[in-house]
Amino acid sequence: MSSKYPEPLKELVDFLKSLPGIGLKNAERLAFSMLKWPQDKLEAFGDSVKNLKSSVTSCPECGNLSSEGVLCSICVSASRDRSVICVIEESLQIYTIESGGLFKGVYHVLGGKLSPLSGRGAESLTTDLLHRRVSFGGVNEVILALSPDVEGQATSVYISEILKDTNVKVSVLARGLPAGSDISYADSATIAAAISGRKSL
Amino acid sequence: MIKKLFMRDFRNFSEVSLSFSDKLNVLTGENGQGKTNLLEAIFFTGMLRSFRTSRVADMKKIGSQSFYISCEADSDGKWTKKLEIEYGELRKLKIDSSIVKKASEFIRNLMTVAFSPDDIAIVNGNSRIRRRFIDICISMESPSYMSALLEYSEALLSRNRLLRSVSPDIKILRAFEPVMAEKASVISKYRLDYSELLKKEMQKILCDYMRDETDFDIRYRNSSGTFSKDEYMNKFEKERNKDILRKMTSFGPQTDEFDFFLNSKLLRCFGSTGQCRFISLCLKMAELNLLLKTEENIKKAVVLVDDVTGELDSRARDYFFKVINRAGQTFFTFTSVPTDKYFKEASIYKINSGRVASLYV
Repeated sequence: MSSKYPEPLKELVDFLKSLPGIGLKNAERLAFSMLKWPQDKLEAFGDSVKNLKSSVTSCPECGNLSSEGVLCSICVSASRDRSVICVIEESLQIYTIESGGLFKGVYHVLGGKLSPLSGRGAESLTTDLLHRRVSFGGVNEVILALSPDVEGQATSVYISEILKDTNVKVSVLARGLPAGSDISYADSATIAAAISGRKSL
Repeated sequence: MIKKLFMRDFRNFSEVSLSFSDKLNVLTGENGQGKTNLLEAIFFTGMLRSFRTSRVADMKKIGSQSFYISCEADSDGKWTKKLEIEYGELRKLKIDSSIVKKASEFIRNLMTVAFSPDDIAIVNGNSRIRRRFIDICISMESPSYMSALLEYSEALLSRNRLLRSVSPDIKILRAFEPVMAEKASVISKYRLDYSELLKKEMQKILCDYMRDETDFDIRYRNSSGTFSKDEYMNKFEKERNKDILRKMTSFGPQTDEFDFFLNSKLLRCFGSTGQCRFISLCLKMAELNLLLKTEENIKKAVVLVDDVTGELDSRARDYFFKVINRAGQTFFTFTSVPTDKYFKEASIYKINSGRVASLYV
């Protein structure tokens, strides 16, 4: 089965197959469609892949994705409120929060969670940088937007401990029912979280 | 109740498809033919764990990569649900062909209670077995207990891993403690409540059965000595340095104990084998009685009896069957077809080296 393609094509299929959500059939379709591309498009595509690592860098301020080592589009924007920092695990989650449209502050990418079971400790997180940003002044609140699992909760406690000496207000996201959903389809743990986190009208 | 069961590569069964009576089913066969394996498959469909082993890999047929169980069950009397489990590298659960991610959403469709000769270990075995018995009893009724247990044990594993590292970071240790304190407080309150319920039910059973005053007591020994989250936090504060030296978390739900007393004697130390076996059977009957409190649970309950009734005298047998009879559906194992009046209406199955035939006698 592996020998049915010429070697270079098989190599391409293997690369594509290693992407998340792409199986063998999909990888084959993508590779065959690329075979039909004009040479200049293929070269431009190749260049963009080749320069991916060097051209996409992380923002020196918040750790979000940016290009050529400059500040990211959020940190550079004049309309963002620099007194509120939202801490997230990965830069991908910035786009999730941005799509909500409500948050107008700035971000801090932590680079993961504390995970003793997979050998990831404090040194793998950008907590020092966060501490420096907060101690520099002008920050009123740090919002911790980490996953509400055990490691996420522990990481939130850890960060609030680290920021204690700066006297900044630290908050975590509410847990409960997803917006616009029907309560009858919520699972038991979500309902329990929603009941304990209820607020008065 | 279970209407149909299909298994692939489960224990010694390569492929078996069966339909069951909605009341009484008897599995017969020589030793080592797979009677208990079939009960285990049913129990696993209900609880997603085995009553014999904690290693899921042991349940795959030797030489196969995965096992699959599908079960048509009528859990609330309205329509038949199809429950599917595939266990290979990963676990896949489906209800009516749609994927279910959380075990807690899957397991309340069938409520399985298994009576097995190994139950004696609940009384005279180590404390882990007693905790496991109580945990299963409570989890069946309370999804929030099960999720507290899961989160607690993840946090505990993390904390213990940190304690074993060369120089544990106190700040990270402390970060895992609030989650543990919160869950431990939930777990210990549930355990206290359930051990009270179980004690009352046991006293009722013993009084009904023995027809005289038997002094039975269950004492829940909470190893942390507290039920409040704040006091758990203080305890962590006090014990942390010692835990670092011990390289493990020295208190919490994982070290709790349940002491069973008969006539003021601690059974696991001073009980005879006969007493331990008798009390373990009563504990399982009490578990079943507590489960069958609601009409809904009665319909979902499936009782599995593996080789237990053989050594009971006739009065004990009558009492046992009276308790069992309240559940919707029951499965028994025997080496030969039972002649007892109790099994007159039963559907009989003959199991022979991983093959099952239905017998109409």
